[in-house]
Amino acid sequence: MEEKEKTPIPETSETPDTAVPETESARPDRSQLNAFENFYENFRKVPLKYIDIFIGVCITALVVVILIGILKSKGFF
Amino acid sequence: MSEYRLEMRDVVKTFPGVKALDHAKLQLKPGTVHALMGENGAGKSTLMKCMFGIYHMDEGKVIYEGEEVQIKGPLDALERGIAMVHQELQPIPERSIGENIYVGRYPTKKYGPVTVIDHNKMYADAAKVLKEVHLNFDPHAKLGSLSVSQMQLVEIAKAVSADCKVLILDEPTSSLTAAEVEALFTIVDELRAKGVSIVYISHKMDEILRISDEVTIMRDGQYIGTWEAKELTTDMIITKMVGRELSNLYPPRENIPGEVVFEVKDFTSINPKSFRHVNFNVRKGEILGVAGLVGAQRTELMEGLFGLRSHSAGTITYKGKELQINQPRDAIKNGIAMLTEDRRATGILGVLSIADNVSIASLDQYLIGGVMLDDNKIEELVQDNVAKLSIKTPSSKTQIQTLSGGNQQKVLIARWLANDPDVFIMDEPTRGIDVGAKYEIYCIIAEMAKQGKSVIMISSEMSELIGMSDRIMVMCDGRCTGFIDGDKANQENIMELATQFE
Amino acid sequence: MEKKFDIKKFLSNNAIIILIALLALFVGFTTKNFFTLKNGTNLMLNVAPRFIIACGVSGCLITKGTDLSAGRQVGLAACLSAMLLQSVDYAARMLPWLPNIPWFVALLIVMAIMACFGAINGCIIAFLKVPPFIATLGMQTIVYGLCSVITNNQPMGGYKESYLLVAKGSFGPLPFLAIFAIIIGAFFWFLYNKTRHGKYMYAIGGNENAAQVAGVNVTASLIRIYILASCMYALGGFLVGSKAGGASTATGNGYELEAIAACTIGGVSANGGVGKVSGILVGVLVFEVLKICLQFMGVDPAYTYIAQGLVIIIAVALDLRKYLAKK
Repeated sequence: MEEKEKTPIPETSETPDTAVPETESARPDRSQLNAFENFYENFRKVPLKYIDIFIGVCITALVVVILIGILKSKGFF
Repeated sequence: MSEYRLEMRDVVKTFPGVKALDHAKLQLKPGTVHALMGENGAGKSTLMKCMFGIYHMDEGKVIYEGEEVQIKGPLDALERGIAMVHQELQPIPERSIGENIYVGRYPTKKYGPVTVIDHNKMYADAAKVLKEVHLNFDPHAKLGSLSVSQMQLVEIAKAVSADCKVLILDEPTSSLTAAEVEALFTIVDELRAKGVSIVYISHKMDEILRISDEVTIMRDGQYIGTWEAKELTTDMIITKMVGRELSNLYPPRENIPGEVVFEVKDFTSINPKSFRHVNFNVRKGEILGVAGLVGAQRTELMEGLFGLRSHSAGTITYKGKELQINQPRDAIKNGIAMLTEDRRATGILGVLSIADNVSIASLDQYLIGGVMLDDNKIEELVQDNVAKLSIKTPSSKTQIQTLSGGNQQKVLIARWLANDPDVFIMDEPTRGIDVGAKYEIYCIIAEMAKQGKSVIMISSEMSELIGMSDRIMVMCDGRCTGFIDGDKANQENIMELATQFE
Repeated sequence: MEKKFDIKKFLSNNAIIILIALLALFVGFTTKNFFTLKNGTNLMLNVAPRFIIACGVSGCLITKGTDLSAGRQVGLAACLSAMLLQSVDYAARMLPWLPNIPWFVALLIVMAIMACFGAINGCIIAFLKVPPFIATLGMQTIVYGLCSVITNNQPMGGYKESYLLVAKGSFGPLPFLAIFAIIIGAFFWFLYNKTRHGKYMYAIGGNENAAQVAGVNVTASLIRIYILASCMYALGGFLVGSKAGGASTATGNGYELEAIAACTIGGVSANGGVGKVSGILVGVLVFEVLKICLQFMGVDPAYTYIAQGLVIIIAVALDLRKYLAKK
């Protein structure tokens, strides 16, 4: 019953001696992740591009909010 | 030129700091099984990824059926008839087998202007494909309900289903049982008869020599040569892969086993299906190999001894004293060390440095004033081990996960040696490690035994067990079925004991 | 090709920090009195308790956990400090029977009490294996409830002079609060870099299973981490109370969000196993500089609130990106 979960693929990967951007996608067992990581895993299928766009939008929003706040305090609106 | 279905010429691919492919070459004839071999880091996977469009080549050409092509990605390759079964599975366990087979290229039908997935056709096609590869899974079943080896077979079915002209198999038998490997070979034979060009990437010499027609060997990203499989022997292949003569795969052993130091009696797991009533002992300076099929519960037994699993009965006696081991710390305190089977999951602390990884189990030894860590002493320890064990790393602060498998394993061995254990349990110590590093690890093991340490080595590689053990313990389905002396051991008597089911 | 990669990566990793730095420069050059000692001291006084609290949370985050009860613990600590350190002749004294106690004694008592909460958090997480998110979420409400009960929902004031002096006083040019922060910072730096506890903590965060196999006493380490965290919340609450001159059940509300976000900006992430004290300080500074800039410009606090929220979202999104890119 209590079988310890191991990553099912034995490691026969090509990792040369110096750093190379080849990564293995062993999907982590969800019971071993914490709350943040579990949340992050929900986004695994979202291409990085969309996340970058989201970050860009938020940063723009931040700048806009700060600007509006400053301008409002100066009485421009 | 036109005798080749697929050619890759003068392929160059560089990553920051590494030249992964240096004018590599590959020429595939139709209706042949072409093995691609080389040590880890030789460039095999990289070359395949270039072919597939996953990587962009810096230089080089891919000529497919007489024309030069630019393959834009895996789906493009698949449409042209080039399929690949990856070493790292990318299954979607929650979805059905049929959906997994046709992911990204679902058959569709139109309801007026709307295009939807034609599920009926998909499942019918999937059933046909599965039948072609002699698998009788229900295509509606969830992929996650299958075992790892079965999933790998489905991957293979997926590639075959694409009706490809070129099929690349990257370590296809890494998770398969012997029977499933036979099934795979049948499929490969059938495909070869149909005229498919098959690229077979593997480290398993006997499989390569059995199934392939031609063998291409790569080393350090370079093309070394292509030979007919029937002209090659294992030794020749290794020599060409490594670039130097290896007179023996295993080092000479000078250890002389002494008196019994470690005794296990009636060791039984709390899980009735796992190990039960195991009795064995190990002598000082002895290498005890542990053989068995997948599922024999060898790992589970050792984990139980080390305190990672609970046991319901049994005793461990060390140098006459009975030990109570409920967690790894207890075992470590008593001079037992364990190198686990899956170093990525339970071995290395990936994001930490090599220095941290080496010292983590022995920090108590490097304290100033009982509280502060002596960084100099730790650095000394690390440099000592880097030299002694030939660990290849730019510095002690490098993240361990950037190292190759062999070097990672050596760092872990260094970690345990820092505590000077008397009993060292090693679970598949050379799995996933290239030939050169394997030899180095065998030397380390031999040296440990010579110094009087007891080594318990679980291995699934017959030749490794026979070549390195003083005695072999064989397990079957959770029971210890017998012991064989090292010099009398061979494939047959080991297998006999390993298949003694009740 | 390589140079370009570097700049892009640098920008994305430090986007928020660069943004806030630019904001500070902008404010500094368009207003008077921004780049002054007085303002700098103000900043320091705001940063100090937040930094201490963030240090507390950092241990939880590094081990891939979290502590959502931080804010309410700060509040409870502030209220307890209040109760122990109200002026003897204050009319509305909460504990009229209490003799006059020196402030550091009160601090120690509060730390001891809050440490118990930390121990409970640690035990639930380490022994009962309850996910830290849930365990500390529960603790958050329990602590808030306790605080209401103890204080009868009355805001408290009327502190004795020596307690108020903790926040107001300074040692030469250096305010006491800054000294507290420096000592705590140094302590955590030492703990994280030069002690076994620190190594074990990073190991657990890096790969808990592997740490277990390597003989690390994971349970003991985790409990210590949460106890230490609570001690920091205690100190933080104590200082916040002194600075504000008062405390209530509302004190500390939401502090954990900012503390966790500050750590995340500063390099402690859900990836686990990494995080430096210097990073924590930078993260806290980002928030405090943002606040002080907008305050200086007279911006309506509502906008500051929104801006802070956006910073938190950006910090999490960047961390998410790092996590996905790694895998």
